[in-house]
Amino acid sequence: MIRFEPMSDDDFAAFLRKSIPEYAYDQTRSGNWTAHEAMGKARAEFQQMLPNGPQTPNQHLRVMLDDRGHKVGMVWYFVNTQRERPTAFLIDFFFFPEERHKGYEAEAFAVFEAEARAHGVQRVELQVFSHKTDEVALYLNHGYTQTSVFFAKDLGEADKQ
Amino acid sequence: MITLVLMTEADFAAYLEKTIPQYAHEKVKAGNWTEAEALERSRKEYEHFLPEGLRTAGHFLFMLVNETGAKVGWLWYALDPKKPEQAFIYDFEIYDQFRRRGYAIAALSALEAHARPCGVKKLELHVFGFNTAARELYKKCGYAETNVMMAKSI
Repeated sequence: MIRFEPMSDDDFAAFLRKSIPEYAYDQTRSGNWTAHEAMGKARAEFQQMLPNGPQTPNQHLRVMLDDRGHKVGMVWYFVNTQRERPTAFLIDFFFFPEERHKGYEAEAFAVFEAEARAHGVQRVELQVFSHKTDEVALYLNHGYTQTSVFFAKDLGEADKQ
Repeated sequence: MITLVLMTEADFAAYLEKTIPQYAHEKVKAGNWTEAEALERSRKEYEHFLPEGLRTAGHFLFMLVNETGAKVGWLWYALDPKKPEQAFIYDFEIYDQFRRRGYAIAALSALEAHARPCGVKKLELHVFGFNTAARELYKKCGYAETNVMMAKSI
């Protein structure tokens, strides 16, 4: 059984240590940011979204625990009840490397969705970098559909096709 | 052969009349908006992005004209005010009756020829997930997927 608990300050610190550099890398990899600016921009975005850390209103930061109380992953979602259909934005959802492929995914989604429904949420939205094909597949396997796809083309060289 | 010709006020009025309900419909189909709110939100988005209509700074609204002078579609793109080397394609359509003639590829190449002298080094765009034909077209024309928005009703 998977259950969620609010992140402690230590969990939150560990979360930032993992997620900020990863987000900086992903934004660079997808061509949005330069390597030089990426860490600063990633840090600024996290700070802007989570000014009061795990206590920021409408932001939900959770640790996922297995039935022995062992921490297996983390979840971050944001609830927007101002939309006509209240929506949760799933910002981060991951298992620690040694806890992957243990079949926790379906249960973790069920716990997340139940928690979100309890906040009045009717729809979940999320964004995935296209180079993270495992993540895209994970969400597709759990009932998520692709609503929008973003493309980019570098015009650096005239003959590049 | 496709030429980009700036829209006239009459073109622009016809464009809005067709594209506002169409965009509303697509947002509902993608699950982003409800039927009840869609038309109003679509109208507001167009007003937001084009507050001065055709004269909105940095925005280019073109009719796509073929070799016989017929209007075969439209293309709207804009320079990113924060990142001058980037541009975003807001809307691009070849009318139904003119599809499968290579006009889409020709129009994208005409767009690149227009954008380069404006200093654009990177073009970005968005496609609804259900529009598999458009996704294939952009891949064929050298565009790479950067990110995907996904959703689920719970």
